[in-house]
Amino acid sequence: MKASITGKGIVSAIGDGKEELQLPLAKDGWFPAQKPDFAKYFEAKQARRTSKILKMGMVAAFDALGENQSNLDGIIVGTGLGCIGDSEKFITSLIHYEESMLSPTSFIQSTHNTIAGSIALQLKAHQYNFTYSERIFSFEWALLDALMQINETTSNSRFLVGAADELTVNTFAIAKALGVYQDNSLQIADIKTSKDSNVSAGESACFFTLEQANDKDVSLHFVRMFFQENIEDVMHKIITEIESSGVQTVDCILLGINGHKVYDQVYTKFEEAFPESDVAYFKHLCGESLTASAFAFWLATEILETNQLPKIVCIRKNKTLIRSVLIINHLKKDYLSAMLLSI
Amino acid sequence: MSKKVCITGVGVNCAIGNNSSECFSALKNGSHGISKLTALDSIFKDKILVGELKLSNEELNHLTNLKNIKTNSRGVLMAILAVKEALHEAQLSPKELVNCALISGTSVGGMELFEKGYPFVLSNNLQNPKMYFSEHDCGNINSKIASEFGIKAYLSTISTACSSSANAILLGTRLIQSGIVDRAIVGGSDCLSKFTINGFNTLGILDEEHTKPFDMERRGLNLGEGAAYLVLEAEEVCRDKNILGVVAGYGNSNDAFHQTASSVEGTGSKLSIKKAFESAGIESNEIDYINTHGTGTPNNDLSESNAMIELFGKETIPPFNSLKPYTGHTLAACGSIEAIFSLFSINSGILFPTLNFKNPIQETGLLPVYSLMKNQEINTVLSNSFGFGGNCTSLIVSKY
Repeated sequence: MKASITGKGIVSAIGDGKEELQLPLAKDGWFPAQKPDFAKYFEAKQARRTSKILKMGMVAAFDALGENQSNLDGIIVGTGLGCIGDSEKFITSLIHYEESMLSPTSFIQSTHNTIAGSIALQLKAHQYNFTYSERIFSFEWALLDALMQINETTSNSRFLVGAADELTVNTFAIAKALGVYQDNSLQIADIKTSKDSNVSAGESACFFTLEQANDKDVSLHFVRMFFQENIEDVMHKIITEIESSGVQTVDCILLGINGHKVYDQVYTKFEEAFPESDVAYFKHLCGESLTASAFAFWLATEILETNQLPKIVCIRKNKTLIRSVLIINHLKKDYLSAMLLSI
Repeated sequence: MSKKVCITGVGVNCAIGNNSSECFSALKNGSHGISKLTALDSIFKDKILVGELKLSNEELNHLTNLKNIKTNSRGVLMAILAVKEALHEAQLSPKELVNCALISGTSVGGMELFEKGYPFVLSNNLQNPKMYFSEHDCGNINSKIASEFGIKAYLSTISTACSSSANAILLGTRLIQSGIVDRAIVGGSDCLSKFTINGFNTLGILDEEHTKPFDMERRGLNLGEGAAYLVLEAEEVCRDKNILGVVAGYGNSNDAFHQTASSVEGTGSKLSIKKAFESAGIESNEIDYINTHGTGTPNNDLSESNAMIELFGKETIPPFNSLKPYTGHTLAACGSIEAIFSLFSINSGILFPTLNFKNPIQETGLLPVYSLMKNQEINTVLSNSFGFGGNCTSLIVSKY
C-alpha cells in the first residue's frame, strides 16, 4: 500500500510551521497552540460560535486543502479526547445550574465527530466521514483508513486526513493529578536528557490531503499499531514491514521522546536498531498529546520535502541525504505505532 | 464485494435483556424495557422514561467475572459482558484472539465517571482522580476489553455519535475484506449519563411518554443504554461454525446539512443506502426488510421516510420497523444492537412490531410493521444508523 501527501496544514505551539522552527512558549505550565488565523477562511460571526479545537482543526484542514476544496472522497479525523472544552463547558453549567436552563450549544459541539462534521458542513462534502478516538492510535487510524481506501481503487481519490486535540486549564489539572503531565511554567524541559518524568503537555491540529501515490510528493508506505506486545516482537514486525515496503534504507528515525526517563528507554532500542540512521525528536516543539504523532507526520513530510534535518530536532546526524523517515511513537509501552514515509 | 464476511457470534445487553436470548424473547413478546430513570443521581430521576440495562455495576462485575482488569466504568462492564457472550458463541482460540481486530463505537466513553468527578475539579479539590478520570476517554473501553481477552492487533475506536457501532461493523468488514485481519470483534457500548440526558433534553427531543417512531404524533426519543458485539470472520477461516449471517454491504456518508438535524429530503441517508447497495452488489428490490434508525424525533423519521420513498418507491417499500421503543435510543451502541436484532429476524423469519405506533405521518402515509409478522422470508436486511455531525451509515446484513 502507498499514498502520497499532497497538502498539509498545522496549528500548533510553533504556529503554522511556515517559519523557522523555534522552541515554543509555555503558558500556564503547558504549550498552547498559537491562535490560528480563523478569519483567513471563515466569517467573523462564525468565530464566536466556534470552539478552540474546532478553529484549530478547521484552519489546519483548510490550509491542507489549499485551493482545491472540492473533489474529496472522504474526511477522516483522529482525536484522543475530542471536543473536551465543550464537554467541560456543558458539565460545568450542568453542575452550576443543577441540570436546568442549559443551552444546547456546548453539548452539540462536544461530540467527537464535531470537527469532521463541521468540515463536511462547511465544504458541503457528502462523502465518507469518520472519526477515530483510540488513544495515541487515533491519527494512525485516520491515515490507515485513507491508505486502505486509496489502494482499493484504481482511479485517483483524495482524502482529507487529520488529527486534533485541545487542552484546557482543567483537563491539564486532571492530567497532572493523574501523573500524565508535569507543570513546565518557564520553558520546555530538555526532554532528550531528562532524568525524571518531566512530560510537557501541548495541543495541536494537523491535517493532510492524501492521494494515489505519485513520484514527486512524499509517500506513506505503512501504518502499524501494536498493543501490549513485547518490544522484540514489535521491532521484528516493523523491520519486516520496512523490507516489504520497497524502501531501501531508513535514513531518519523520528522518535516520540517526551522526557519520561523510564518510558523513553523504548526509543533507545530503536536508536540501536537503526545505527546508521539519523535520529530526531519532536515533542519539545508541540508538547505531548494523544495525537502528537500527527505533528511528527507533518515534520517528517517537511524534512523529506526539504531534505533537511533542522538542528533543533536533530539528535544524531549521519546522512547527507534524507529520503525516508520512520516515525515511532508510544504511550507507556502499551500502545506503539510506526509509520514509514519516503520521497 | 469479494470476500464473504461471516458473523459467527453475537452478544448483547440492553433494556430488554442481559443477553441475546433474553432480547429475542422480549422482541417476540412485544415487551419493552422502558421505565422511569432509577440509576443516576439526577433531577430527572423517577421522571423521564429511559431504557436502562437492568443490571447494577456490582451485578455486571459478578457476571463478567473479570480476570485481568479492574474497572469502574459501566460502559466497559457492559462491553465486556457482550464480548464474552459473542466469544462464547464464536469459540475463538487464544491464538486467534491475539490477531483479531477489536473495533468499538462509543460516544461518551466513561462520561458517567467524569461528570461525577468534575465538581471536585471545579472546587479545586481533586480527590481520587484515577477513579473518575482515568477511564474517561473513548479508547479506554478497548484497552480493557483487549487486556481482559488478550487481543493485541488493530484496536480501533470510532466515535461518530449514534452511528459509531454501525461504523465499527463497517470497518471490521473492510479490514477482513482487505486481508489485513481474518477476524474482528466489532460493536459498541454507551451507558446513560447525566451529560447525555441533559444534552438531549436541551435539544427538546426527549419524549416525555413512550417514543412513537413513524407516528403522526411522535415527539422525540427515549434514551437507552447497552452494548453489543459481533464476531466477524472471513468465510475461509470459519471452519464448520454456525454462521448467523453475512455483512454483505455498507455505506457511510455525510448529510452536511446541520450539526444535529437531518435534511428533510434525507440527502445523507439516501447516499449511505445507495453506497451500501453498491458495495453489496444488489438493487433496492432485493431488500426484504428495513431496520430503520427510527428515533421517534419529528425530524429523523420524516427525513428517513423521504429517503426510503425516493429509493424504494412509495408503494414498494419493504416492511420496515423501528426497534427503539423496546430499548430506547442507545446512541453509539444502537447500530450493533440492531444489527443483531436484524439477525434475529433473518434466522427466525419474524418481524417485530414498532411499538406505540398508531397513525402514519401525514406527509408520507407510510405504515411501519406494527404487529408481529411470522413466517417471513428474510434474506437481506438494510439497517440504518444516523448520528450528529451529519453521519449516516447503512449496513446490509444477509442470510449465509
